[in-house]
Amino acid sequence: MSDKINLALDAITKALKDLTEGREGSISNPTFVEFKSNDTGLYGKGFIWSGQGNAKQIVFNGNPDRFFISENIELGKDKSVLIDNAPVLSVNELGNSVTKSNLRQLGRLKGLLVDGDVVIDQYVFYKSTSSRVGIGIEMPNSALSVAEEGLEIVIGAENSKGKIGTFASNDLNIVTDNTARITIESNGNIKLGNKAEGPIQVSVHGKISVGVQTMDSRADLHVKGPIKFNDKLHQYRASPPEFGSHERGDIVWNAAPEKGKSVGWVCVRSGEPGEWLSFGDIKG
Amino acid sequence: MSKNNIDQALTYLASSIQSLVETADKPGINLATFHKDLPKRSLSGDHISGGKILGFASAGINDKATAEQIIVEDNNVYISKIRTGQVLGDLSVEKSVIAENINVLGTLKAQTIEVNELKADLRLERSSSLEFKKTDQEGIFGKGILWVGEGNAKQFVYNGNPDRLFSSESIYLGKDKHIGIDNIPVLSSTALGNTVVKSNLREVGRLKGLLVDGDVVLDQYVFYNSTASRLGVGIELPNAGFSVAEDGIEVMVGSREQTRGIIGTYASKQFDIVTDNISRISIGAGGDILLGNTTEQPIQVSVHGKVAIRVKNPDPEVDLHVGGAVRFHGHIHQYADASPTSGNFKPGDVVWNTNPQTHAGWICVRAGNPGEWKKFGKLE
Repeated sequence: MSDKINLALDAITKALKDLTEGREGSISNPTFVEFKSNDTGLYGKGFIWSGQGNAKQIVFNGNPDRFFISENIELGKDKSVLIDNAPVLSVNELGNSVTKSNLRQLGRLKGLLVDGDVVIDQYVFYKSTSSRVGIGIEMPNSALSVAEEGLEIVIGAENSKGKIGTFASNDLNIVTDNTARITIESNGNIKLGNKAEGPIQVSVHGKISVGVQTMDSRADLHVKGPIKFNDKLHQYRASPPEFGSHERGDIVWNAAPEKGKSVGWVCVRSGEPGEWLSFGDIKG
Repeated sequence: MSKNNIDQALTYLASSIQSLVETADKPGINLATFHKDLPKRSLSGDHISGGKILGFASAGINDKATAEQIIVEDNNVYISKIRTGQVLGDLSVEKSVIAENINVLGTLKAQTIEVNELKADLRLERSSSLEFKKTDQEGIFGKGILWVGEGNAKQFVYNGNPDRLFSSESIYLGKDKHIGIDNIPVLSSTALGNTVVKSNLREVGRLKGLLVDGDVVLDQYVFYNSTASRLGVGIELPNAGFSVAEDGIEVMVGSREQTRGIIGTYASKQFDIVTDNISRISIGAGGDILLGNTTEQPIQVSVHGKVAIRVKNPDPEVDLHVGGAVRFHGHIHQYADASPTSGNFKPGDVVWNTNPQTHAGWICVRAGNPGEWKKFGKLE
């Protein structure tokens, strides 16, 4: 019986075809083309264009329920795709409601606004929970850290002071012309200049104190202990040295000068303590 | 006697009656049973005209009607009702055909088919588009395709406000198919079209690369200002090409006057240069510089070169050129043309004579203000 019905409906269809071929207005005033569920359900029913290659389909499929369209969908100019009355895709824009994607490639962005962690090429890391940026390091030890060759340079603040330097036991070079000019060793020693380069000129617009807690305002250079210049040692003592290695030309200034005594002593022969003679008689 | 037909029978009957009348001889027929001898199915229709034949039957006709059912006229047969299993050949109906069901085994042709409902398990064969057209009574909104009978109706209809095709269900495209607009692909299973340049995406996958023209803001913490070409970490308006702000302190990395690189604090904050995360050089907000760290062991500062202190033109012949007095090992050495008349001094402090004529200088022999000073270094 079903076959007969099918045949009959095929006949009706053909009649429709014959009726509408080459004419304007195939079915007058239709409201719906309705596919009703029967013993075979709704799945797989719909529209099929056949006769040219694979059949082109718009059918209702299940699992999940959806319309399956075998072909590209082409919208008219300025038309868009909407879901629940909200635009989700136009020719040049994703709808505002589309907030998630797995895009791996973007065009040239006009701007970028990110809430949350950022990882660039597993090299630049921004951790939103710690608000720290690491370049070459995932867990930076300051607001910004740059790690290269296993060495971390930190830039940030600590105890109300800005800071820059190495985090671990590494020297730090401060460079100009890509040449180290100041080297701060991991133990704190500081080298001004670079032995591999020509000697530099260090100028101080101000005063220098060495090992002094309270700078003598009268002096531009205040050194707590002895000084050495021209490779000769100058120190203060109440008497010439009785031990220790000294070089010829070393000077001991008299820390307890008196009238009739000398201003100091000069080493005239190297040794321990060497030979010392007084100089600079103090007159009245 | 031939009894092949009614004509022969009637001839025979007429002959018998004639013989009976003329000869009064023994009749050739038995009148009592004559009707039985009359051959069946031998009366020619030409002998019948008018009147009704009741209970008429033949091999193909069985008239059981009690009233007139068929009227046959020239070019016209009227039948009040027909019950038939089959009509052979073409059937032409001038006006309407009303039937509870019509089964068409072949092709049904019609100028117009009006249906309230087209109910079918069918393959719709068409060579032209199916059109939903506006009429005087109805627009085209709400018209389209329905799948009904299982849950909510599945719809693919045309709606208005704004004009659009509405699909109640998800739409799945075939493999390698895409959605296009104005002949431009805008979405495939793997790519958004190149023309899609705006979005409000808040989540993207693992990007292969990133190229940005314009401002960048990461988590309201990292800011790139495209108009100023400045990057701030922890600061929105950096004061250098690159600034890092932490605990309210801005550390700048940038340049000055297009000739010098700079690094340091922007505001009135000390700046430390560290190694091993320990301050090694501290530059105070006012400019004082501390080499070493008073909370750590004393350091060694080495200079590969020369040092000048408060000297405008350093003497190239000396390694240390100090513009003013020098104090070392607790004692000051300074130059003057006379011994001090004020200031605190202690024994051993030296004033070198800037105008040596008779002696080299003065040395303090008793602490005080200015203390007691004696000449030394007689010039001979």
